[in-house]
Amino acid sequence: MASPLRHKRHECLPFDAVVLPATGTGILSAEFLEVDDGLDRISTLPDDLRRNIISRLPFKEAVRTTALAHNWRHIWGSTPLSLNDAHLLPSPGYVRAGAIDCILRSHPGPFESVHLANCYFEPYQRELALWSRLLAEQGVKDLVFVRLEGPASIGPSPSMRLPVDILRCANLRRLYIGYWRFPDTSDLPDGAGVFPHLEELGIIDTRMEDHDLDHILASSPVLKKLALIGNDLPVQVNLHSQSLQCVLFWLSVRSKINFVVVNAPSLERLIMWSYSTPHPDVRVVSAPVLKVLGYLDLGGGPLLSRNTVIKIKVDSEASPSSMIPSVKILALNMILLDSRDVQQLASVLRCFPNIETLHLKCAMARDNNYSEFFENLDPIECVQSQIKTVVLHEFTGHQIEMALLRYLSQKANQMQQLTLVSPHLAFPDERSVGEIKDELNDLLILPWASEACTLLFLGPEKKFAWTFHRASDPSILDPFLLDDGQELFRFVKGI
Amino acid sequence: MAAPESGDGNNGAARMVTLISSDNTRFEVEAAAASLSQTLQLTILDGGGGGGDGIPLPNVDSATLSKVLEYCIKHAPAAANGGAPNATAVDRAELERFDNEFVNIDQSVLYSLIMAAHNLEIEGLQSLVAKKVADMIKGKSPMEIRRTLGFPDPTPEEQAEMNAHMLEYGWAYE
Repeated sequence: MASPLRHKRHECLPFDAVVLPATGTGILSAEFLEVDDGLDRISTLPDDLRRNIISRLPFKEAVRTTALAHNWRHIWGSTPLSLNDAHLLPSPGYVRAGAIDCILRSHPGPFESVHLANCYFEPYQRELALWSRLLAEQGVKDLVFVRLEGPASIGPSPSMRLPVDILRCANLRRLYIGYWRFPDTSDLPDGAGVFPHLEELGIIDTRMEDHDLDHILASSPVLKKLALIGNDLPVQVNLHSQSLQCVLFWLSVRSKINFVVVNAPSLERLIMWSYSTPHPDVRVVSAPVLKVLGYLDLGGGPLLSRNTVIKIKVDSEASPSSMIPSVKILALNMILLDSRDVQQLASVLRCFPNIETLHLKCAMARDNNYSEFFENLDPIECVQSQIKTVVLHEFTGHQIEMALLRYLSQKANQMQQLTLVSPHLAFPDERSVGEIKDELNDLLILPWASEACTLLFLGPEKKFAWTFHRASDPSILDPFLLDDGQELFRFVKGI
Repeated sequence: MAAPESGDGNNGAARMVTLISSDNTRFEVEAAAASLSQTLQLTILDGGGGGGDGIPLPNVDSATLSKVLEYCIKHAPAAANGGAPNATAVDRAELERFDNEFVNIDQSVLYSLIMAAHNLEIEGLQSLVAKKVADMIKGKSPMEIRRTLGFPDPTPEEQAEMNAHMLEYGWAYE
């Protein structure tokens, strides 16, 4: 039975190269381009130019060109295959399966890109075996192979095993699989499970033993991006990879995942996201170039602190061995209940002496005399000498947030930008904006530690602006910064 | 184009090159714009095309070349910036508007542009014109595509083959 989160997981699938037309029906459309002199020139174009044209068509329409005329018949077959079963919707399931079967059998290859995420594989076990073999033989480069479970009336389907032939697709650059039982990698046929070109791997809710993931990582020497999406995933992940640059945990709501970055000399980004805490337990042993890290869970008193992400470091005072000096951008998700939580925040910050950007998402439970907690803190190196940008997400103007702001304004010598973002779906009314403004004015009267700092108050971020694709896009320097809320006001403090 | 005529202008004035179409018309254009063509880029880097020499383009007639250069001049500044990074949303929207307008042309011109973009290896223009033809094909039945592209009426045999195809690949027509 499809869960509501399933839809969100599907949003993590890679985009398709070909964009669907608004009307893909083949129904006569009134708008025809002028044929001027009525001569067919396009058919006289050399084959490779016509292949270039056809490669821009959704595959259903590309197939139609084989019916045009004799001199068009061979063009589609000699264009590397691009197949996305989303283009077969809304045809019923058996028609989609029949079409996939027909295309994979009849296209002479090579297969460039095959995205299957809208197919009930259960009734087509025999075809599935053939498709997998063809995908491997035709050297598919970009593969999405995500099961669609049967309708509720069939009842919960027993999990199916991913065909072993999928692990023989040695030409893969990108692979996303979903809702399978992973084949036992300790017992693979020759040539299976080795991916010399694989750069991006996404695994959605797939039951696999811990050693299976170890195996895949060990046999993918150029893997740059790994995404683990959903819950049904390995429980213990020990990351050893020379090549990985970005690891994402997405939408996993179980706390039982233990993620240990044992040795990842190229890892730059480690990003975790779910709708409800806790995020997975993470321990970093060696990641010398890790720059972007978050969201980590902190605080919440004794009950939740058992799940605290960098528990080991928090329990002890920051020592050189527990520090991660390479991190520049850190995002924390914290629950502030009492002074212990503030102490914990301070301990965690001491583990990251060089962060320049700090994102904080705070949840508060009750009022307390928070300012004292901050006043009694020992100095925190990154706050005093490194932090340039602080973003407080879901900012409500609560006492503890104001206490934190006061603390930052007095201690953060290098702070140039302080951004406050209104909570999701709660656009502040004029009165509350006014109140927050007044509170901030009190703060702005005092001298600040930094010479010049801009304070920005923003309306809520757009719903769903924080997406998997954004988080995993290396061209976005700070993936936690959405910055799309409407500016409500701005102060410039200092010069 | 109102660029100064200062020859080998190293002093701020843009360097100009001359291109000669198959029907012997001479076009003077900024080197940066002509360099969008991978084919021309090397010659231009070697210092060719300046002064009275000119680069002959025996495969491109003057009507097509003037259209190609219109594209190159419009896209040269963005290409010099390495594409998108510095471009504002407004700039990008303006280029998109230009592109849409640019390919709103007769099929005979479109055909000449496809061949010219191919011969001169102008990547952006190659994509633009291929996408234009793909858009002309999208959402149509084979008969409609034939009519759009100006095929002669099908012979009874061709018609029978088309019908057979549509039966066999029924899902492609849903």
